Amino acid sequence: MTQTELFSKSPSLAVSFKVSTPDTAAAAASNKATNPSVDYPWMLVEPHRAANFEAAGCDDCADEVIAGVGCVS
Amino acid sequence: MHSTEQRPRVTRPLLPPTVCNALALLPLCSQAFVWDIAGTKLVGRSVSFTATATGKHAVSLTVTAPAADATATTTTTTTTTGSVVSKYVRREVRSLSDEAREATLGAMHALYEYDDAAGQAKYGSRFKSIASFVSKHLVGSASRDCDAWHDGAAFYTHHAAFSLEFELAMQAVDPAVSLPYWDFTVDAHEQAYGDGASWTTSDVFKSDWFGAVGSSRDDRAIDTGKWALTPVLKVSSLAAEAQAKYPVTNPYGLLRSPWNTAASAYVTRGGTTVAGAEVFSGEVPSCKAYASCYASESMAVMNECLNGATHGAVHVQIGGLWAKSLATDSLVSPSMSYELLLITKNLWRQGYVSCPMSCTDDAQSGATCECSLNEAALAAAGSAYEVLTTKTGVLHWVDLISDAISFDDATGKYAIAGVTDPADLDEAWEDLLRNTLASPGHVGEMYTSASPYDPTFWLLHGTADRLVHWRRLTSAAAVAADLPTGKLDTTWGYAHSSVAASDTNLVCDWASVDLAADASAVPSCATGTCGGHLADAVSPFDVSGDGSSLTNEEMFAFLDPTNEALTYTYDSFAWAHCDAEGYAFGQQTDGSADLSYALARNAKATAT
Repeated sequence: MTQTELFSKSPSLAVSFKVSTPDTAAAAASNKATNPSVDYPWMLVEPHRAANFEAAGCDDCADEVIAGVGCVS
Repeated sequence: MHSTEQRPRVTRPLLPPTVCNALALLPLCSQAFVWDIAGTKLVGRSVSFTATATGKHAVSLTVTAPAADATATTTTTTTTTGSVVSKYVRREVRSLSDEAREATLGAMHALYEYDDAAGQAKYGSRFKSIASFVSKHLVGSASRDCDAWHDGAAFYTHHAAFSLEFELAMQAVDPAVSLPYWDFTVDAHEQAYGDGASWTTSDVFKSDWFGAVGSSRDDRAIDTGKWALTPVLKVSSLAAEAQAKYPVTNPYGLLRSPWNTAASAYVTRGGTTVAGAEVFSGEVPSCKAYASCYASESMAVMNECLNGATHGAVHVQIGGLWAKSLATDSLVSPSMSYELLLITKNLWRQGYVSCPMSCTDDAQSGATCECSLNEAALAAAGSAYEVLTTKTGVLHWVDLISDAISFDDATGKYAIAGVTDPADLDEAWEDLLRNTLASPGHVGEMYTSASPYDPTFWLLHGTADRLVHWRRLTSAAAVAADLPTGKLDTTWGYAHSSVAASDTNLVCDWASVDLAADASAVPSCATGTCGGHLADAVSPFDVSGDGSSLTNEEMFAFLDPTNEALTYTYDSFAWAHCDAEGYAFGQQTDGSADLSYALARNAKATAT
């Protein structure tokens, strides 16, 4: 089954997004208390600090998910 | 010990994972992306966005796929929606870059440079001057009837909200900064397990940070760093209308605790010695204190250790105490004399210690301006022993810190070692009351109800608040996983201490006391809850910026770390140095939290 064939069967896309705040990670990395990253109960951005928003989709899939199907980029 | 499966993990609920299945195989690199983040339109698979406001922001991502094949003419558009939450991140002060620290200290210092009117004109309505913060703390803590901010159920909410108000004022000056915290358990760890250096050598006290602990000046004014010679507001020099804004002052008309007769025109920091003896063992709260407090199974219990064990010693040691007189045979060793201040405050609240209403500036030696025994009240009580026991109960607290005093079960009375003659005993009790307990001496701001004047005040409560955040997060995880332990009972309350001399749980009614008519009059004091600590009392803080008020219980709910409207969070909930000590109460590297550890240790400590 080709990619086109699969797509033609359903037009829906599976896309999510992820957010990262490089400044936070940098601050944590320099913390002398050796803090691991924090898992917040939400996707966090900080006021007045740039956050990177990135679409996550097919070509970010874990191998086991796409195994046997193929995810061509 | 819980198995791995039973250890709660505090993780964020990720958006549904991308599913690359038969329904979606078109590679992202071939599609077009349009973002709408909090109303800002951006284009590209990866975009940068800088939030300016706190709170929840809607995010939508519209993906347009090309035609499925060369012969098709239609494209496919799909929109994914979600949200992000914008919060300030409070960082350990030593983790800030030089640039970030300078910006943070600069914003903090601006609150010391401008009064309310000038600051609000320059920075907007959220600006508040340091004097307004100090006055608020004085009004809440230095009332003669009771302390509405400490030793009660509202300790946590008041100090967390107070810190947030301060942070909001800093952000009025510089919207990019947040309130840092000082994790002094790191210093305690280094002192005990590292190079042995005292916590007073911490970077925090560098001259270009917060200045040294202690002072080389006779008046103990902070004399190094950005806050050197910070003036204390002379309220009595203000116009009458302006004075009304600062109702609590010391006898010199300075914005200082009414019983603190220090005349210095500057914020004082007396250092780690009290009456010539080093305070405690020269240590700050350690991992052990934090692990024990973390193990609390109710907020009522946690409130007590937040009030005391997790940060109180820092107040005492930075503040210090001097010009403190002791009786020739004080019955209390100098090393425990820091506790005497708390006992003197008890006597002041109960009317047996009086402080001058005013002192003139030429009495700056302090010799003629100090609190003293209310002799008329003593005469009315009949004896010093009556004052110390039946009338006030403070001898219980002296007994706890004195090797010479003991309670004789046979007679039902306190005794003094080596003193058997009744007349000598009466004289000793009176000597204790008049010459050791009646005057608190001069006290550094950090050990008083004017403590917000010392900038290190603002580093402490976030440290304890961070522990509460982590405790509430792990409790929520324990509830979600229905674990048998680890849940925090948040019923409003306070587990009063039997050993803290400040924790009298008394409320004194001064309304009917007219000292002009009767110099021996004392208030009626009874066991009760100070009004400010009640669950439904209005919390005196504006943390939303809209002027609305919350009750104490509502404030506790607002301060929940999972509340999206709360404007801040912390950089980390890990205490790696505590893990190394065997106090693994913090977040582990795999994201889990082992609640059973701290609970078991606490139970063991209690048993022993």
